[in-house]
Amino acid sequence: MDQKEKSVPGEGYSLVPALEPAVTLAETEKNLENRKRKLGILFYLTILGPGLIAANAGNDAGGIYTYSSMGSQFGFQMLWVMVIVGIGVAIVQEMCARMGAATGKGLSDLIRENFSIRLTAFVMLALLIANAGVIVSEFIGIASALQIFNIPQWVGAPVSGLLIWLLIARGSYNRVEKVFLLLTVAFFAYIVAAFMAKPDWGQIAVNTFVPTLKFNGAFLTTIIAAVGTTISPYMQIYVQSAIVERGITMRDYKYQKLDVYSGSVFSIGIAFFIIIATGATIYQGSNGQGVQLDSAAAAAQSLTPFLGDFAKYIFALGLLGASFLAAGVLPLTTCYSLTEALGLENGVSKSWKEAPAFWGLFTGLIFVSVLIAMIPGLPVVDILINLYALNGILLPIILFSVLKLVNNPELMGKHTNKPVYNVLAYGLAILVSLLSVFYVFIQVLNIFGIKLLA
Amino acid sequence: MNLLFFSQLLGKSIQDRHGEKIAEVKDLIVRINPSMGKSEDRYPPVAGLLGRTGKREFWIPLSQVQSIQQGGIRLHSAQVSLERFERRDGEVLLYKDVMDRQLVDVEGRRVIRVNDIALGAAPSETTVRVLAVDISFQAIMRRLFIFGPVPNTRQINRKENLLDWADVEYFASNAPTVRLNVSHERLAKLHPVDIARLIDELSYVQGAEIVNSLDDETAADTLEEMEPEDAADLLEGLSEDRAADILEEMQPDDAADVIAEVDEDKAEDLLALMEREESQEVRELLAYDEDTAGGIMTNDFLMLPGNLGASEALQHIRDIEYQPEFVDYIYVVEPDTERLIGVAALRDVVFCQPRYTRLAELVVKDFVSVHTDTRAEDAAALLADYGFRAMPVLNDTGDIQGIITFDDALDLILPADLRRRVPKIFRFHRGLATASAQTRLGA
Repeated sequence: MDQKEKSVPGEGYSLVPALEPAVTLAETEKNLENRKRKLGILFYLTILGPGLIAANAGNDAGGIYTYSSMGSQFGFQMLWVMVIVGIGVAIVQEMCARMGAATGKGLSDLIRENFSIRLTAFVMLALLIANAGVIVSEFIGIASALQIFNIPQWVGAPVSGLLIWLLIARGSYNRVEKVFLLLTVAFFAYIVAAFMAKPDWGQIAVNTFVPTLKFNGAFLTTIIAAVGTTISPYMQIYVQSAIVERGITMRDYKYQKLDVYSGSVFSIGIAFFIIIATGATIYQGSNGQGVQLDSAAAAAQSLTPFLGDFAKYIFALGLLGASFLAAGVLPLTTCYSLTEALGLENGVSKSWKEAPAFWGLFTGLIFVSVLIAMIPGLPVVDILINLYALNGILLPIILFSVLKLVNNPELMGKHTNKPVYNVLAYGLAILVSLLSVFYVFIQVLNIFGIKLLA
Repeated sequence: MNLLFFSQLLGKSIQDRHGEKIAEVKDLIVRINPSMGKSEDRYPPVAGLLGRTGKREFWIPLSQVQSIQQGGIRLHSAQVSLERFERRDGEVLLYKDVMDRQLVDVEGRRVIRVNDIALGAAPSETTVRVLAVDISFQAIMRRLFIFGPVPNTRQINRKENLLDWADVEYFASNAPTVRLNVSHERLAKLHPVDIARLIDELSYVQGAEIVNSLDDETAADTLEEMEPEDAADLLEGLSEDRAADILEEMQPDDAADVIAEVDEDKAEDLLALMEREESQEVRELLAYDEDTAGGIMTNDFLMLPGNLGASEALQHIRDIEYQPEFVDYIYVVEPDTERLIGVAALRDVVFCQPRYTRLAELVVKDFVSVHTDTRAEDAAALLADYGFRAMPVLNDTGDIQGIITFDDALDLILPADLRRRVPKIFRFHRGLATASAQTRLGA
């Protein structure tokens, strides 16, 4: 039976294959451990990923602009907002990650399979509008970061647009992604900047936990923009699809949870220090008047007098990396979720003829964004803040969709939200919805000339 | 009758014998038939319908239905019992479980999404069945806009958009609340590479369903084609006995890669459950690092002593109980040792004259080999350079430990980009497949 022991009569040798002494159990255990250990580091590097990338891309052009202006306009008064938004982003990302692990399906797949076709179309339309806005802001961010290096926007924008298009179409984006991710390390400079500015840490602690509310238009718009840029709908979709693609199941989920939470803490931490850095320098410098910034690049540049010339180049690099990261992830994520939800052919390995909708949408999104970013003398501030406010307004649609899905036991089995968790999550969704409704209300009144808030 | 689209029926009125509206169509119940015996059984028959008036949902058996048509459904009787619907095994709801779900198009070897469902009856019978699945974008438009274009069923482009139900495969996991006996017979007949690619596109629940339905050998071939991590995830979802059976059928080197990705405790259990010989081979290979020649080699190969005659050697090879996958080369060693003296091509051994020529005289003595610790990429490049189909891997003392075959080397040499593009270059006779679908539908 066992061919190892089968010997040929009279010859005295054994046949195929190798006839070493059997490997003992202890040896196997050691070998397995050995392989695991080598794998271990790699394992964590690959699995610690989606959450970090998504959260990091959140610190993009719009993010940096929003956080900078929170600090320069209101000092430390908005730090408490970031605590709430931070908890929010962690909760939402965790729910999406859990859905991905429990069902093995992307968010748009789940929406299509569980909502009516009209609701699916509505959610996808909201997603398209929100994402298109963010893509525009990313190219504006790239162009203005390059402007710090004296590259005019009408050169920077089209070149980077073409570069991103080619990288993705040729399928080599994954390799470049790590370079962009590395560039965002430059954001640690904000931490240095915050400490160098010698802020009043006592005041910071107070403002972190004691909310300050001001009833004026700028304050409210900035809060909505902060919510919109930190909890962008596209990040939820990206996290979930990355988890599905990596084949993560509920068995490996504990590591993934760690990734999502550490990603959120990291991105909120950076945001926190951006606010402290600008608050302790620009806001203090204006004697508590508050300064309106022109752009994310201006925010970086305005720190120069306080920190030295090198600062703006470091911040520009960070901005460039984060914007590139998001500008690469976003158009692709958008196209995949839309075409998947509508059952259209998709995938970078398909040709134009095979997947016309996919490639058309992808190219169109980049093309239009580049065109807008090329316009000289753009009112960057107004555009960015309005784009992120738009994201904030569309966010409730995605949030309630996520909540409805994650609490469906037919999909999630025993992994639906726990009651306490649900209170937090619904609380967040309702809060965000009220903010958006209120904001839209004010804007509409504004159109008719009624100024509700100064 | 003409084809009838399910979306055109949803929400339409259910009329009693007198033509009075008593309810709206909420869903259709079909019976998914696992038996592939009679050809018409492949098309699931409508078994009943779900009606709704106000908030109340109730079940209407097929026996009460007089006709199913575009405008709605007409019943025989004047009254219906408002019996609550209970799901039964083997029954699937068209709207809840099929519409908008993912299926596999077996002919096209791709994953598709159901945008609409075509119903109809064969000319000789009255039973309404699910005939085809509409995957066109127009179907979505039709459903989105109430006054959208109603399709002329005769003009529909059947080639691209309408897939014969017999050519698609349904997943039992799409309807998790009922027990369904869905066979994946047709899927199992695809090439393992295709099955692996489909599994990669599907959710892991559906992937596990497919692997579970395959026989051990096909499952093993499929897992060999997948990334070891993905294969490990799938195996962890199966019962341990089944997982061990599949591992036994896999190439030992692929099995070792997969085992190394499984949880450590579980890996021990699986190795213990495998047959002694197979698990032994895997245990040996686990000793080598993944990125070395030892890590990519297989220890399943032909090794014979040099003092054997050609015809004797062939006789031995025929007698081996488990034939190795790769037999192009025979690795000839000094009698009673594993010291490699040369490599003989099976071809030379088969055709050599005289028949008693000893193997030691047939071998190429200046063979190319690598050490077990050689970097895997270097070993693969060497193999490609010389254009061999396999290359021996030796230890410090010159004993043969295993061989690297060209297919394992190919994975390392071929750039990742190119590998990802393979599906594009590689297209199956889709035209032919749909042509047959057309004749079947064309009734």
